Amino acid sequence: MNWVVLGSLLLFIASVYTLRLILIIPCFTAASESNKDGKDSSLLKLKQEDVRGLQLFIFLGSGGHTGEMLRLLQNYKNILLNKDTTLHVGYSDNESLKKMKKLSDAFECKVKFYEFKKAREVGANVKSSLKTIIVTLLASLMHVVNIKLHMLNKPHLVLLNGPGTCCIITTWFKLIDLLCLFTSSNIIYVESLARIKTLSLTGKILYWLADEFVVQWKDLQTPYPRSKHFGILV
Amino acid sequence: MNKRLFVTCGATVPFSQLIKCIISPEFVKWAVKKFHYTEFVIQYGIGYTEPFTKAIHELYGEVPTTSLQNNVLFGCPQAQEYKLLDGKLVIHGLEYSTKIQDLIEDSSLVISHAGTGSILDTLRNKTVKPLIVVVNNTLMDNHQEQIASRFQEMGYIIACHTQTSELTAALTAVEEGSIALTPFPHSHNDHFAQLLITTSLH
Repeated sequence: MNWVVLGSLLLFIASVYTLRLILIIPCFTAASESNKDGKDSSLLKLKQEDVRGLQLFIFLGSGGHTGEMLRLLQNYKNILLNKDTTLHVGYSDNESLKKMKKLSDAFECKVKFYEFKKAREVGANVKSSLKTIIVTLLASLMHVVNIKLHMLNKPHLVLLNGPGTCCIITTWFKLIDLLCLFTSSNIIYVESLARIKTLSLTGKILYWLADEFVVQWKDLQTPYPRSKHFGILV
Repeated sequence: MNKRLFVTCGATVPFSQLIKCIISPEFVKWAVKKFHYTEFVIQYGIGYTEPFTKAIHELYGEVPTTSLQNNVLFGCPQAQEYKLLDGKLVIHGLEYSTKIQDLIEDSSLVISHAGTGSILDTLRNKTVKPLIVVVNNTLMDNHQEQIASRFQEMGYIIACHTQTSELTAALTAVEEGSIALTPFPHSHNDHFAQLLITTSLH
C-alpha cells in the first residue's frame, strides 16, 4: 500500500518537474511565426510606465560585447533606466567596470555591481583548476540567487550578449526557475553585430535556453527560425 | 585651416600594415598635396608606441614631443606629436583615447580597422563623417571581412585592404564625391522596445 502511495507521489513530482522543464526551456514551446520580424500587430502598446520598478540584470562580457551592451542600454534607456529601475551589472574585467561606472554616473537609477570571475586559469594543474572552477561556479550562483531575490514580484529582465559566462549565468537562472515553481527569468539574448552568417558558440547554446533570442542580421533567421530580427540595434 | 584625418586601429590588436600604409612618405605626401590634410591623428593601440616611434624615426628622422596640453586634448596619457614635411603635416600618435568621439567630431574623414566597435563609433557620431574601413588580412577572424563587405554593400562605408593604392583610391572616391555614402539608420526600434517591455512583464 505504502509503496503505491510513494510511487504515485514520485511519479507526480517527476511529472510536475518535467512539465516545469518544458515550460521554462523556450525551445520546447513552439515559435510564434507571426512574431518573426518582431512586427506583431496584436501586440499591446505598452509604455515605459508599465515597467516601473524594473529589476534589470546585464552582463558585460568585455571588449566588443561590453561595447554593444552599453550601446543597447543607451539606446533604450527611456524604457530600461528610469529612476526607479535597479540595474544589476555583472562584469568580469575591470575595463568594462570602468566604462560602466563612467556611464552610470549620468543614470538616475540605482546601480549594483557583481563580479563574475572567469573559470579559466592558464597553467593551473587539474586539481587546482577544478577547485577554481567550482569556486567560480558557486560564486556566480550566489550572485544569481541574490539578483533573483530582487526580481521577485517585480518586472524584471535579463539582458545578455555573450560571451561564455552568459551560459553559466543562464543555466543558474533556469535551474532556479525549475526548482522554484513560480519564478521566471525573462532572458533576452542579443547576438553580436559581428555575427552575420553564423552564431557564436554562446549564441548556439543560448538559442535553446534564452526566452527571447535576437539577431541583428536577417540571414541568421533562416537557420535559426526561433530568433527575432529588428535590424541593427547597437 | 586645419584638416584632420583620424585613423583608428582599435585599442587591443596592433594593425601594423595599416600604420605602415598611413605613415609611408608616399601616402603622407599625396594626402597633403592632393587633399590638403594638415593633421593625422593615429590611434594605434596599446603597447605600440615604441614600434611607431621607431618607424617614424626611420622614415623621417623625427623624434616625438609630448605635452600636457596634447594629453588632455587627445585623452591619452602619452600623446606623441611629430612635425613632418617642414611642419606641413602634424601627426599625433595615441595608444588609446578616452575622447574618441571628440576626435571623430573634429575630423574630415575616418579610416578604421574593421572592428564593429570602431565602425559604430564613427557611424553613430552626431555629425556624419565618411568612413573607410580597412580589413586586417592577418587576423584569423573572417567576421571582420564579413562585416566590412556587408557594410559596404549597404553603402555605409568604403571597404579596402592594406595596399596604399586601394587606400588612396578609396580616399579619392570619398573626397571627390564619386561614391555617395548612405547614412547609417537610427538604432532605435519600437518593436524591440516593445519586446523589452513585454518580456519584463512575464
